[in-house]
Amino acid sequence: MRMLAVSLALACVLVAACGGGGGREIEIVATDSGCTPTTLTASTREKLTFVVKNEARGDRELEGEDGTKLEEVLIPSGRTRRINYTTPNEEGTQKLKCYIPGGPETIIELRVTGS
Amino acid sequence: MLFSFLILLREGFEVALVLALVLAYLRQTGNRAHFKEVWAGAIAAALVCVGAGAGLELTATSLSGSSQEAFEGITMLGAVAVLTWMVFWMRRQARTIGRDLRRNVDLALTSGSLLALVSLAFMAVLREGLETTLLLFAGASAERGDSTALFLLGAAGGLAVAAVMGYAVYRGSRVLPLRQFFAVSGVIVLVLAAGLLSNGVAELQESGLISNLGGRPWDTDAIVSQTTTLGKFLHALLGYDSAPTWGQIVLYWSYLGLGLVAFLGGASALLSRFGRFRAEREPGLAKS
Repeated sequence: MRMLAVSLALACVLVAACGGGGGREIEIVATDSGCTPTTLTASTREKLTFVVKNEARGDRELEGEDGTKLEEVLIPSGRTRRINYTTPNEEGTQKLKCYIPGGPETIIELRVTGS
Repeated sequence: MLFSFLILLREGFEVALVLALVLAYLRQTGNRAHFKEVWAGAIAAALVCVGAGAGLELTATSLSGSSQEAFEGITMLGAVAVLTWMVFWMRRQARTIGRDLRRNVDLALTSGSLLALVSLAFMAVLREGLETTLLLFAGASAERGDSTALFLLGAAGGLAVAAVMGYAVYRGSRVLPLRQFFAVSGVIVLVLAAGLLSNGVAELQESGLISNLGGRPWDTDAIVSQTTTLGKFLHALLGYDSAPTWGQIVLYWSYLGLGLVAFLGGASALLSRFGRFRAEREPGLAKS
């Protein structure tokens, strides 16, 4: 029982320490026919949390494209992943790539405008 | 950072051990004048390794998407093979390394060819150096969350400690726990290699080269997410995956299980081997 309490406490500390502060949630859904939505809007320096739901039969990945600083994250089939991202200081269009590993991709445009 | 530190400590010490044994033997036999050939060979090999590292990095960055993942995945699996071979080879080699090196130095000296001494040092450093290059490259692929500066800092730190240990061997220090060093670092290297194996096959699956590694029996994303700093660190170092496939799980545990049994099963034999290695090495060094 004490072991359980200790490990729960440890898990909470780890989640608190590394979970980071999430931003405005944006839902992205991956299905067998691609990812939606394909356009998003946000302000400069805005904290976002992409909540990516994978409803497709296979794995999907989300990654920054054309210089967008977002590391590749794998979303296993049937699972959801929360990915934090902060928009850059400059206005412009950021690109995200939502794709089947080794296969076709959907480009999601994130339009960043001044706040 | 921890990955690059451990790799450079272990590999760097193997290089340092060879150089220290050769230099100490030259000193004892009054051939200090030939130190420069040894250093020339060592430095030339180090430059070749830096070049090879740059080549690997350029190849990887010139590729994109799935072919980059495939290249990284294959490199990681190559690194697993090298690590495994290194751990077991070093265990066997430790017994005769001193005697073999002295014989080769004698041959080089009697042939009177300076080039022989240069190439002796060159080959010793090249072998370990190319291993290091491959491992660092595989580690850098897995440790993408880490900054380049931290990664290099870890490598420099490991090399510095290895150099100090090599100097201690050169001075004929007997307090250095060589046996424990190779036993403990061998276990650590096997654990790192198991993680690389799991990461490597996952990369190959992502690249599409392997189509199916089975289902994913659990998901610990809610406890330690791979998008967090801790998750990335555990992923790079130990091959942590919040939702691993059956293929990864089976490969990881069978590699680690078999590797540790084979390695530790020989631990008692290792003890006596190192006993002999030191006995054979120390009468010569006792003069200094």
